[in-house]
Amino acid sequence: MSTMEIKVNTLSSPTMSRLKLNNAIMTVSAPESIEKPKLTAADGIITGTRAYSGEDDKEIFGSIKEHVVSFSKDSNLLVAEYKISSDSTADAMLIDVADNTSATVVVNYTSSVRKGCGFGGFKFRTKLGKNSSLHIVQLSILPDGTLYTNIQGDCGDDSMLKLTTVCLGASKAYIGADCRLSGKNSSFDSETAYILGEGELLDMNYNCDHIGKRTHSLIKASGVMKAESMKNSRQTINFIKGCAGSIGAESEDVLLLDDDIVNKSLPVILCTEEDVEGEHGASIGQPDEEIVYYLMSRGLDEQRILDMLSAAKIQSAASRISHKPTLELIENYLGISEE
Amino acid sequence: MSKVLLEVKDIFVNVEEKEILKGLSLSINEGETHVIMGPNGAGKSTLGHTLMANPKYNLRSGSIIFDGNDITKEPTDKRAKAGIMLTFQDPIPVPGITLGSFVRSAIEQRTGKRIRIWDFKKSMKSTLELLNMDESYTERDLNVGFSGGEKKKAEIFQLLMLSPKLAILDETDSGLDVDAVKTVGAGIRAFREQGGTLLIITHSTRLLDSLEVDKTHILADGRIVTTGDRSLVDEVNTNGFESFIS
Amino acid sequence: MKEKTFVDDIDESIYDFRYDEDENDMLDRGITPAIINEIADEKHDPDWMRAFRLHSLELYYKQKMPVWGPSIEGLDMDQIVTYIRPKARMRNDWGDVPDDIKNTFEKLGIPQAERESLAGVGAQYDSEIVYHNLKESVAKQGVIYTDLETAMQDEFYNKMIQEHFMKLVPPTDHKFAALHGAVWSGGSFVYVPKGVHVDIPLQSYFRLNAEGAGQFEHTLIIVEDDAYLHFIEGCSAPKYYAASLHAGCVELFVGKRATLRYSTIENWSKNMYNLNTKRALVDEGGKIEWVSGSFGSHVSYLYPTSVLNGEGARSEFTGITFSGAGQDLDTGAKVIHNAPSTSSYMNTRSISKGGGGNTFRSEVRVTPKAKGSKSSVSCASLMLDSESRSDTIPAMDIRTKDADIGHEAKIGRISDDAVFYLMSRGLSEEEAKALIVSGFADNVSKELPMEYAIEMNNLIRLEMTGSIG
Repeated sequence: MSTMEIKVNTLSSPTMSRLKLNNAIMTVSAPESIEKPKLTAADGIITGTRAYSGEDDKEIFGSIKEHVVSFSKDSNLLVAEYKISSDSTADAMLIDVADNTSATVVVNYTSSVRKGCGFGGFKFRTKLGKNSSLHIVQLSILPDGTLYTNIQGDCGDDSMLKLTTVCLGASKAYIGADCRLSGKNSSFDSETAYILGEGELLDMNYNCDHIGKRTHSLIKASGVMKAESMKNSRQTINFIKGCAGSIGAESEDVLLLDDDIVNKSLPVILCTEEDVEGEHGASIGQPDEEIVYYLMSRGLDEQRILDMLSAAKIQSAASRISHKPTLELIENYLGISEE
Repeated sequence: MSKVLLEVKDIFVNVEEKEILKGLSLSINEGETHVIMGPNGAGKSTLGHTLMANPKYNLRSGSIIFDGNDITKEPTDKRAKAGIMLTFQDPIPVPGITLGSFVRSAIEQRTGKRIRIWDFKKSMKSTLELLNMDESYTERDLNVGFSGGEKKKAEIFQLLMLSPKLAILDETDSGLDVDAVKTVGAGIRAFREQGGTLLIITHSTRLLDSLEVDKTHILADGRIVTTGDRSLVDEVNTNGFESFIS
Repeated sequence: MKEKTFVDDIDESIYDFRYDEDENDMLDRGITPAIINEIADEKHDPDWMRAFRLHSLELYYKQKMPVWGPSIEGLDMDQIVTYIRPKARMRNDWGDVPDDIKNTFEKLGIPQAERESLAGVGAQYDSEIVYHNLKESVAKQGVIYTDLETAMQDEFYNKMIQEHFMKLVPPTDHKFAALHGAVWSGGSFVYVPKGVHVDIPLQSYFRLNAEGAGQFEHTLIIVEDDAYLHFIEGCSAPKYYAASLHAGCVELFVGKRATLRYSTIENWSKNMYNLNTKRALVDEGGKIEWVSGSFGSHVSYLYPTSVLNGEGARSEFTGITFSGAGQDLDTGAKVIHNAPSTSSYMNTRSISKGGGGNTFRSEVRVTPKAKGSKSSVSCASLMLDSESRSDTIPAMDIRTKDADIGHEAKIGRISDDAVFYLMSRGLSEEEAKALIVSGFADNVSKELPMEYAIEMNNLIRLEMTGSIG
């Protein structure tokens, strides 16, 4: 088993090197097997496999075959369940969404071992036809191990790429997405929620290029950090000359529950077009004293309040998920199931 | 003779460097309704938050006995579990937690028992009806985007659901229109009928018209300066507070 | 090769802004130890300063160019080397001063003597008198206000300078800090003793040195406990040098419960590479207030940094950057919360026009020591056309839960409705836009002394409409 260092989550606009945010270096063992996921979808959606044809991340995916997925009817659903074992695994998909089609891809990363997960690398390259929409839901509940996921999107006229990412576990998670809003009126809507347990690392890199006219983007992340956890969040909105009438927003909301955390954020807005509106907002801190007092005054103890406030950070992302089994995994994890 | 539920003995309270309560004492028997009136800045809200152990209020001396136990050193959640509830003048918005799930958690923590969702929904229903609240309220994030009236109703809703022994109502009628005052009044009467004890902090008398009041206290300059019966409320209404302040 | 930092209890990485190794070297060794010795001879440097210069030169050779930020490939180091040699130092000639600079002087109504000084042609005679008067009036309060070369001839101040000089911006910091350490010349030294409140702002404008100086000027200000000073650097008129590099350095030491307000209007001529490093160290209960207007220059890298190193230390940064044709201005601010209950506030505006490039770059760092700290950053950018560029690259690095961090950024354009409204009251489109842009810049103009605010507004009008009338 050979170990390699792979540069991932590279920032499109490098900044002061000392901040150590220009990229992330991931140390993993080379993937030994192609992950054979449990893929559930109607006939005709998965059309076959072919050699990975992506330009980047070749160190991880260069030697594997990717699934070719093609959505052409309405209300299509593909569920991919990846069980990470102690081996290193990788998988990739090339997803095509036909014009006037709306589809959902649900991806769950869970473990087949109690402890000692290896590396899992996953890539989803998507192309959205006119007036189509694709919602990719990703949920990670791993006891440990290293997870790398990357989503690429290219959006045609009037289409929408929606991402919902819930990260509840993995020793190290590198999560990224890169969306090109090429078509007019296309949009990118990404919401990420996470709870970082003791010593965990989450490294995020979201990028959206506004190319077509009147394109919209929303890049949102909210989460909770516990003792000795580390989080890097890069959000980039790039308004490219010609994208007149476009609007983009980034937001970050981090609840810090312990000291000894390292919480880095880099919300970037790049702009070469006059007729745009871009904004960013961040709020980072420990639980609001007034909220804690208010909830305590109704008889909740501090631990319960922190649990509730943590779950609340996941709530907004979870409410975007309509796939019941995935929702149940989240609710069970958070201990907020209805029954 | 009913027993004493709350006994406040000679408390001195600071907010930051400023002394607000200066030797306040008060005793409330089980099942009684007490009203605390007083001019702005007299320390009325300070009393409520001190009884609830708000960390911003520093109790320098004196003691608080509740239900036979000295709770002077108890933190907020312990006091709530013991049966005190303060309704806030301006309830805090808590994004991401719905009113319904919050009340359910609070009841579960008090009782130490899980409540089945359907039982809980049933128990909410009559209370919602009493308060003219649509069921959808309970699906909304706690106090987030609530109007002033909605926030006050949500506080009374929690009061009836959690049914504490002692309710401290902090300016519950402020900012309410006539209909909302009636609804909130009905909620408070229902709480009283359950056997609840009330300490009503107010500077107006609108809410008191439809309530039986056992004792009225005038709070001025950090102390109770006069205690009387219901007629004191009417006296304040006619003459204001001037005559009580030396 | 790390320099010892001024305050030992700060971990060194706070100052150590050295670049990583994957950055490539570009400059040759045109500046030799012999040149440095010539400079030291000319300035009658004390021995420690000569050694410091030579050591900085070594660091300069070793360090790499930055790989981020605007391109500085056009920087002609050969030409700069020529200007650095004292004996061969070339004089600027009024005839060589570019026409656009002369036109700007004309439009701003600058007197001829000042024009020559601003263009690096002659010393500034008129303001010499103002400077001397000012110097004498503050001297009565025990305040020293002079240049570093003069101050180092005094034994007491020489020692003070040795203790502080480039301790906050060590030559290890980056390549141009090292260059500065080797070739610095001119600048201001201000010492405000304990408890002294200096009522009149001190203005470096009044004491521009001999011609050609000011490109590597070093400003060292020490404000002792409980003292107050307002220092104003620069002026709105463009400053021109034939050699196109400005690598100045500003080091500010703010004592316990002291306040230093440092206001700058920089308007370098549009051939300049402005690689300026400014840093403040703030002790317990002290406060640094930066007010910064960046106009002019071809390329700028400028991020005034506040190191909040004592409990309750505060910083405020208010800045505006205006970037027009041919300009790429990379500006912002940094703050390091390194003690409990410190607070920082950053409010910046940037304007891009006519193909100009603007980058707001910032860093807010909260170390584990900085419990109970607060930081608020707000930056707004205005794009005046689609030929221009405006980037916002703010970083936050938070290492304690007990911190309250807020950040907001906005980018947008001038509202058509606002322009229409003003035009309906008889203003031309240009005038309407100029007025709106001046309003957008009011975060800074409100903080400046009135005469500077007026000058800055004139400058904005000039950039927006081509005239100030």
